[in-house]
Amino acid sequence: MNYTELTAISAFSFLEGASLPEELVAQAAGLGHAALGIADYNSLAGVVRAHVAAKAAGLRLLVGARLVFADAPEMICYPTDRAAWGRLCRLLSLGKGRAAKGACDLRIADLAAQAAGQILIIVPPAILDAKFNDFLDRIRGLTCDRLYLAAARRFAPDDARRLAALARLGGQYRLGLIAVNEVLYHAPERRMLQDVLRCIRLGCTLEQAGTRLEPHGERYLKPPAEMARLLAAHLDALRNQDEILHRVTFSLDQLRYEYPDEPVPAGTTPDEHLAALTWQGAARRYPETIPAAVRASIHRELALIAELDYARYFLTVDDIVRHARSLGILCQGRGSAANSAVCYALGITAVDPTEIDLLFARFISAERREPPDIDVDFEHERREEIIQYLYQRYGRARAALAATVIHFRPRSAIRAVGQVMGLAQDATAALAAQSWNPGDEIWSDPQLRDAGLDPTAPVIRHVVSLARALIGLPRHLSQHVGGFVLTRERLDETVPIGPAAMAGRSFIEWDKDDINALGMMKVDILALGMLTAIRKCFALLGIDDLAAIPREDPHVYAMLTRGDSIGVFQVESRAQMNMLPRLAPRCFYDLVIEVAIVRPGPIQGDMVHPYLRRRQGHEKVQFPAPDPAHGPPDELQRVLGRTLGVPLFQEQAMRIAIEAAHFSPDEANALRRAMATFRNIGTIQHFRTKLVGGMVQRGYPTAFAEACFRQIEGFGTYGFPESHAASFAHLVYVSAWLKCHHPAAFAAALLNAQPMGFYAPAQIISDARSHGVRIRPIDVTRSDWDCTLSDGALQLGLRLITGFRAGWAAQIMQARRPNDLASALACEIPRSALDLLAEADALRGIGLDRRRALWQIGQLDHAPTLPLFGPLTPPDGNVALPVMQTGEQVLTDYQTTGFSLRAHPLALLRRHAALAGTKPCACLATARDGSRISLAGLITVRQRPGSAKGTMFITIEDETGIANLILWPAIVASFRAVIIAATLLRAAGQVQRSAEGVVHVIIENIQDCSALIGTLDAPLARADEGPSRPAPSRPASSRPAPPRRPSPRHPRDERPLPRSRDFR
Amino acid sequence: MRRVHTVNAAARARGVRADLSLADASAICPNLLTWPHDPQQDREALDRLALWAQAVTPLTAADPPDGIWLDITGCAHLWGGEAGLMARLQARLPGARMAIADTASAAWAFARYGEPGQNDLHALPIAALGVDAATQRRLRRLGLRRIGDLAPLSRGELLAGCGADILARYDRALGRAPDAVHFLPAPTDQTVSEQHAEPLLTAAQLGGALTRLCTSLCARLTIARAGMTALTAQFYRVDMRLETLRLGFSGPTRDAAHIGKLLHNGLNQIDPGFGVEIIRLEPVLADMPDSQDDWLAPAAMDAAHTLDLLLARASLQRFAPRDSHIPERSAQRVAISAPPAPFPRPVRPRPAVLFARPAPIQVIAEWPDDPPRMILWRSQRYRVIRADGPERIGRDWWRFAPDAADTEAERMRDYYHIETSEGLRLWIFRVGIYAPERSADWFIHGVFA
Repeated sequence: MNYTELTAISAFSFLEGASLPEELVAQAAGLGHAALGIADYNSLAGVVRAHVAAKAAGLRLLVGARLVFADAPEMICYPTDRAAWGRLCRLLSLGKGRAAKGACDLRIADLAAQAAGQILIIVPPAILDAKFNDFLDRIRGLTCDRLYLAAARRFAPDDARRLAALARLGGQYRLGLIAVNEVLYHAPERRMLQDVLRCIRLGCTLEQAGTRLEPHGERYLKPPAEMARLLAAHLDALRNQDEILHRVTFSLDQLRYEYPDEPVPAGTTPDEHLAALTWQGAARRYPETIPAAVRASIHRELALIAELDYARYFLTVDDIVRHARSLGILCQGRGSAANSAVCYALGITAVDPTEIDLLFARFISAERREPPDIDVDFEHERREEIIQYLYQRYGRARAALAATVIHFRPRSAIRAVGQVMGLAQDATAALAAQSWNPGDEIWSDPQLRDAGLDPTAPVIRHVVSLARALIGLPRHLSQHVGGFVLTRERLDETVPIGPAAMAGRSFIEWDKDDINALGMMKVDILALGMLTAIRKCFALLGIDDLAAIPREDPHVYAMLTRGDSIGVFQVESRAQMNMLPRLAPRCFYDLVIEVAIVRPGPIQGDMVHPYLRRRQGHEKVQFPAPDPAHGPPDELQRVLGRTLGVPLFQEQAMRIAIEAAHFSPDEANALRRAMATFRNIGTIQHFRTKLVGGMVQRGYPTAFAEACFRQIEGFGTYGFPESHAASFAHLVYVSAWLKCHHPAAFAAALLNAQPMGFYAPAQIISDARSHGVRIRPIDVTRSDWDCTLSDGALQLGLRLITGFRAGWAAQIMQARRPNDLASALACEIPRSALDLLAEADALRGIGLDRRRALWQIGQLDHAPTLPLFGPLTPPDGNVALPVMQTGEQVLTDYQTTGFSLRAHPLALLRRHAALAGTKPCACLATARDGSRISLAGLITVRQRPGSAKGTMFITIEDETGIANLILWPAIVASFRAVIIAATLLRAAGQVQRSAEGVVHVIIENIQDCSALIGTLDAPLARADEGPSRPAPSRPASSRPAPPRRPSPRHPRDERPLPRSRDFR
Repeated sequence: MRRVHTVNAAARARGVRADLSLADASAICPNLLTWPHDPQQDREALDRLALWAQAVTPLTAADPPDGIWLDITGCAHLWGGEAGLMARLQARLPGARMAIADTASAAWAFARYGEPGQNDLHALPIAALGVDAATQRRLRRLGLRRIGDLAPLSRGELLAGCGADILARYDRALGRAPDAVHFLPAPTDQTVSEQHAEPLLTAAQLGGALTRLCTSLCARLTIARAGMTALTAQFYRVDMRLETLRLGFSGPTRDAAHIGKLLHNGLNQIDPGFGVEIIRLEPVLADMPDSQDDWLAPAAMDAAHTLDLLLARASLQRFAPRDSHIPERSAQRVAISAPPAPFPRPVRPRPAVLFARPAPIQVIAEWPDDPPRMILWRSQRYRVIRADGPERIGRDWWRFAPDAADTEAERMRDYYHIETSEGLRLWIFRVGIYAPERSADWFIHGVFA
């Protein structure tokens, strides 16, 4: 007897199903089922994975959804054909649109509108009462394809009677019975995990859940013979399944993706139009003549595009970029698309084929049959305009974001399971705090004992085994950061669309792997802070276009070689600033390498040092050669020549595999995918034998082959493609040029584009100052909202006042008259805005310092009749307010704006006893390698890169400059509390100086001196205070007082200085 | 974001402070234990402390979140003067900060912000006036850090520049304006209490005190023509804990012997700790005119007394429902004082009598899960004529250790509701899947009505 399970629920019914679609498919195939039907609760999120797995396993798959209604029993819906599938998607989109993110609100009337062509299996409620009879009466009139009743063995005492009643109902209302088992997991062992998932969903422990859990563990895929035995009295229910199998002809293969129609001039095809635009663009890019090699590339690419019918995709992206340019938004393509000469000609990407050796096959290849994937970076402040343009142009029914599936990761899994099992909170915390290397067993016995837990205790064993099973199961869907799907026909007739948590956003139920599998197109609309900064800088300087910047300016490279790169794109981090003097870039390609080399991939693969040694001439550049019988001696030189024999880019790794180890294009592709898989769990090991073996077989030395593999493995997800590095290098050059030649405008643009970049405003301002830029403080009579240039000086803007709003600034700017200082405040800004201005010392321009201004503003509330801002009101001479000292001024500067132009806190604190013996950071410039030194400074950056095995890098800043500190893991562990909580640090250690002059300090001891910051605004000596009046009091107890518990203070008082930027 | 609210000394020693984010605190101290802050509980504990403090003076009040007021006007001499009172309280509450002053505001200021030996209000920081953090910040910005900084400013300037609230607080602290403190309600009438300089420790001492108090209380009730329906006995211990004994009576009574006997019985529950210094009896009164004593028959009086004794001595329990699939765990025992909870209507048929321990039986049944044809129970053979089932109930696996050899499938139960030829309706089950190579175990679990 054949059997098909038609009510299988996968883990994409979030927190209910306990098996992945792939597992269900594998089990059904193994049991010899005729087919499998996956129907998740109001969702089609898991069907593509099931489809891919079923094809591989050779199992027939029916795709549908289990509809949950507010006013009717549940029904399982299987569309019979493509049109019916579209209706199901529309139905689910309607339900999702009505509810919040993740929920779905459906009524039976909605189904009536979309019922044509659907096979519906009604799931009878627990009690068959008159209400259900009424429902069956009404539902008979539905214009669907077929209507059935689900019949299952529930292992309740009245099973036989219930099935008989269902059979009678079926006869009465002319509904066939369908045998089902209401499957929640693929095998009986998963019952425990399903109980846990349900408890997570209900938010209670297993004990508290009680009867809300399933009473037994029978809801798994059973063998056909067993199902026949269980329903022996109703074999017609099994036979009726054949009807459904016969009538459903739909499969996801039928989803043909249609690119949106781009308007092409009458009489031309998309290919012709694309070609025309490409040649026009190429002529613009190369005003003299188009180089022969480029011409050849363009021809080749256009031919391939035509063969694969991708022209409309390119036209779509071209349209988006054109629109952005028309709005004046800077944008640039990134990623593998930068490998395309056509994209360069069209202006989508910025990598010139004459400068970089493009590998078009990395982007599109005939073998891969994957649709192209172009990612475009836009100015981060204006990205929303592009997104709205897409929604507007294509409509909400034809454009939506892709989804991302959020899975259970080890920490979230152990927390969830620990809570559900009722494990004590400290034990769960101890388990969640563990870390391990990929490939190791998580929560192994020794690790548990180290954490103070007993691995043999039953509850711990349950928790660990269940948490391990939970890892990798999906938890919920979320919107992808910028991947848009666009279609010609209605998108919501291909896949359901639902609202995201953000207002105005919607996303489909499939993620980017699903989209790839079905051959749909996706464009990534991404945001880049530096593009905003560059455009703002251009606006200040009157520059039009990125192309207007002179190329290969030696001053720029000299500046970068000095390591002077704060604010420059990509190369401003501590690690990059240390690499720049070593690498000493002198041309554009050097920047490409600089961008790619300081990344976890090359660092882990041990490519950085070999490259530097060869570049500096310490090592001879040589290329191992294969056996002459197998290949030419310069085989590797072609691949690795430009990088001195060291593979630094993803394409080089792929090329080594193809040319040196003779991988087939498909295998190379699989290798690339293994390299790119996020958190690859050992998949790359498969390729080890093939690569090393292949190379050795062709005559390469084994050691070299092994080293190559290590380098490729080290790429993991972090190696850059060369084209991507080149796109970024372009922006590195432009931002460096701006910093070099127009430091004031560049600093203003960076400040106006915050939040972005590696550094806080305080560092940007002090860096500008050290380059000779004059800085004018924030002043309500002169400042705009944005920072501006005035006489070549940088005029700081009102936006730097924490908490100030652009709307208030606009009012001030409007009310301001050139010669009337007080006019700036003749507008309707609220009292809180005035307070902010006063505290930020922005009212000096009208003659009011902080105290005076605050006092007078206070009077607005308490004595509204007092005159406030007449023309240059003389300060109220009667009020005896103490004068604000410098220390307090500096502290208040930091509290209100995040920086101070008066002095650095360290300059004022240097004489304090706690900092005795410390030297200014500037001393490091001349410190000897190996000498001991004691420094003090504010922490500006904390970094703990994943590739550094627990080592921490801290940057501190004092009044003379910055210092980079290195803390080994042991030091990090012993001073953990200080590192986390401190703002001001005193550190002692040993100087480490490299040959190029890069200086670090290896720390041996640190102290938290943050309390000193509070002393900046300490009161004057007692003698200066006014006479005290006698107050009624009694002597307090003569015992010594216990330590004072500080009363809660405003967070800004506890932490007056802005928090450091922390990075992994 | 969750922040740390309070830390104990051990955590503070490790570097954890209040106001740190929970993530930072956990990073500093990985084995930090945390609980959600329950302001309600804190408030109740504070109220209890204020109540305890009534041992010293009747006028006490809680000062949330972490203080109490005591108005000791006229009480100090009872405790050896102000110094003696402070010493006594300090001994009872070793971690507390205290101060005495002429006004409530000043006392508050000194207690929270003063140093020992300091008696100058003007030297205290502005925060000692009780202003909120935002106002403190503003005043600090204006350069006004200490209460003394306010002195040079005239009242008009203070009002105009800082606001009426500051001015009012300043006045209150200096005693120019009155404070308002809401004290706890006074204890009820007819309360009797005894205070001992030497704390009482033994049962005999406590019993003696109770007897004396009881006699005096009943005498007063007789005069007032009232009886008590409930009685609370409070024992104030030297370590600031309060033990309470509550008695209820079936009718109003002022029989000293009877009440005394019940009190003595209840002494077992009282833990005197390091000693009890004050005992107080507080009755709940009801009218009880003299005539009532006479016409109540002695037998009835005995019955009432017996009932009181029984309820006070025995710890009665009742059954309450528990939500569980497992039949024998679907009810639990709770104390009789717990509110009664109705048993929900069973979704599936359940027997009227459930055996505490299922009894093994022998069975003839068809494989794999047909109901049995015949059962053998207590050497008696029963023929089954009708049966329902199987009802499959899986084990509550989380209460048992995982065991590869003993899978869940082998521990589930299949229940059958059978009717025998004699008309008996029984509830039997089989453990585990029936495999031909293994004989399964069958049990009887209950009998239907």
